[in-house]
Amino acid sequence: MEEVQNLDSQEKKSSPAEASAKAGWWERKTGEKLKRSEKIAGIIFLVVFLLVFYVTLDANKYGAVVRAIEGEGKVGINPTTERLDFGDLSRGTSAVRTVTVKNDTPMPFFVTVVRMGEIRGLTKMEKNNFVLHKGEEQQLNFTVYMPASAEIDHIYKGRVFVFKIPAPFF
Amino acid sequence: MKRVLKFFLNVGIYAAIVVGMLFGLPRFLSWYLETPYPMAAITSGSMWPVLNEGDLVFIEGVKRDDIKMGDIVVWRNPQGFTIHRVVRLDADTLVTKGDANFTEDKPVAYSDVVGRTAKVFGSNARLPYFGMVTVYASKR
Repeated sequence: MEEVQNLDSQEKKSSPAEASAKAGWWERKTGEKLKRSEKIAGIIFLVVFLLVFYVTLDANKYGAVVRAIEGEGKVGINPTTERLDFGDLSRGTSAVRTVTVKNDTPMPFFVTVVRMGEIRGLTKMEKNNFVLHKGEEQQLNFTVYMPASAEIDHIYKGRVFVFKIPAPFF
Repeated sequence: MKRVLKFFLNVGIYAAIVVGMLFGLPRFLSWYLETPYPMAAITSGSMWPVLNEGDLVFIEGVKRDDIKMGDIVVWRNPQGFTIHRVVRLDADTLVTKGDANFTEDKPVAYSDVVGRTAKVFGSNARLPYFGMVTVYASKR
């Protein structure tokens, strides 16, 4: 009987080193245990962060560029397909470039296009913010119009991001 | 019970602040800028690159004699409002043109001018992207 009691007392008393090993990283750093609500908030934050990280990494990124040139009705075409190069445009003219987005996954995607940089104000889009279902394909037409206030010989640059956000409920 | 009362009191205070901001700010700006239309969203690229689509600009009231060539004025028309630059001042009318446009607008009566863009340190007072909701709504 005595032996059993001794064993119990040995089990209950764990050394500070063992207790420290059992405690989580946060508890060891701060000396306080995380509450359940804090754990849930942490998990939600981590999931949202990973989703944003994945969507940003998965986005199609294109460099966009156009040069304003002297004259009327002049359009210099640059046929590269790797970036949205609108070539040389005189004031009052426009050029169109197309990007194709295809959904090869079984999950629907919400497609949203974000334009940045000084070319943003010159670019028009026919379609933005739409759902792309399994196997569907859409063409995105980007039109750059060179306005009267464009500075001659200035190269307007920017970036175009095509984000594909998983949308399983659409 | 005390905790519940405190919670509702906090909610009430926050709601009062939000409502005060929503209703009070436009009234304050109307009084300060001396115009019934103190804010306007840019819904087209006709003033690019000075004003971009989606910008929210502040408008100040202006008297007829204070309007100068080169001012960006807001004038009323049957479709709504237009924000363009003054290119000519005539006796009874003024003529405006969007910086990005190739043609001038039709002459505008001075009585249709609502105001001109307010300036801060010599630049047009504008909040980029703050007018995007209006832009989105105007295109639906």
